[in-house]
Amino acid sequence: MSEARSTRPYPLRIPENLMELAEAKSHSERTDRSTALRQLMYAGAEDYVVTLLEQGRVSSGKAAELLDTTVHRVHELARARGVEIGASVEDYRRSRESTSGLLE
Amino acid sequence: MGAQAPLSRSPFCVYYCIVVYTIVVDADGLIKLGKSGALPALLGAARLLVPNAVWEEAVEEGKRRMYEDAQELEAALSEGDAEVVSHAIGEEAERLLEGSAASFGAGEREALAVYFAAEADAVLTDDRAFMGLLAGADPPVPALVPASAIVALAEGGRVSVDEAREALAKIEPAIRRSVYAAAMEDLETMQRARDGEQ
Repeated sequence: MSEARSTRPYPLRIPENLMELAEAKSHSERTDRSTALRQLMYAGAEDYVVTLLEQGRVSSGKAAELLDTTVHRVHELARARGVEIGASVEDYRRSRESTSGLLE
Repeated sequence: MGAQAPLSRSPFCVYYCIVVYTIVVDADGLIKLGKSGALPALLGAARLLVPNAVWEEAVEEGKRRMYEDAQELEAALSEGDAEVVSHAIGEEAERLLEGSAASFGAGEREALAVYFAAEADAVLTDDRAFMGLLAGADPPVPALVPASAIVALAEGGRVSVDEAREALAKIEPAIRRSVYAAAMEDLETMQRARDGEQ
């Protein structure tokens, strides 16, 4: 996971307003426009993956793979967005029941 | 939910045949239990299997990206003699994964493979998608969630009730508020019962 991910060119028409935003971001962060665009896209990807995680459609390991990051970071992303992930009370109760006596 | 896999399915016998249960961990459950400080107690209570991909996700990748938690995990797992194991996905795990609508990472996939291959007793996880998959197995795979592990460790006398409360407090931001409240309530009930016995 630590190696740089492979990239590929993809033809895409970008709305003018987003180009303007990328332009502003590239100026304020002293980076090029493509990098700024990729960063904006990545921020959107983080939001989407956290939503999928919250809905139980991807696991935290898969979320980390999709975002090319760690499970530690996935936990931080969810917390920063105020999204509660992890076992529900029903899962907790089921766990108490099914693993009763396991650690005595 | 229906019947669970019996916990006595694969007791790992050591001297005088003391039963030591086998628990497989995924990165989510491992990181949260590590953060709580209760991991050494769990390592003292059960045989812990860490799939290679989980070790990579939680420890190696975490260390590469400078997460202190990863360093602490490595130390606790090494000191507690956790076993890092690797196993290819077998038919049983593959069938279960194919039938799921959710997507899983390499760690969860290998955790499932190791659970079946080692005939383990439970999987430590706090991942909703993964718990859904485990519950859908026939018989369901017992999932040990970190909050439940902490309460069980207090129940078994592996940690005191106060230590369990502290452990839960450390992971409060990482688990659901409702689960934190339920686990604290269980500890309260346990404490009252113990006080009543004295």
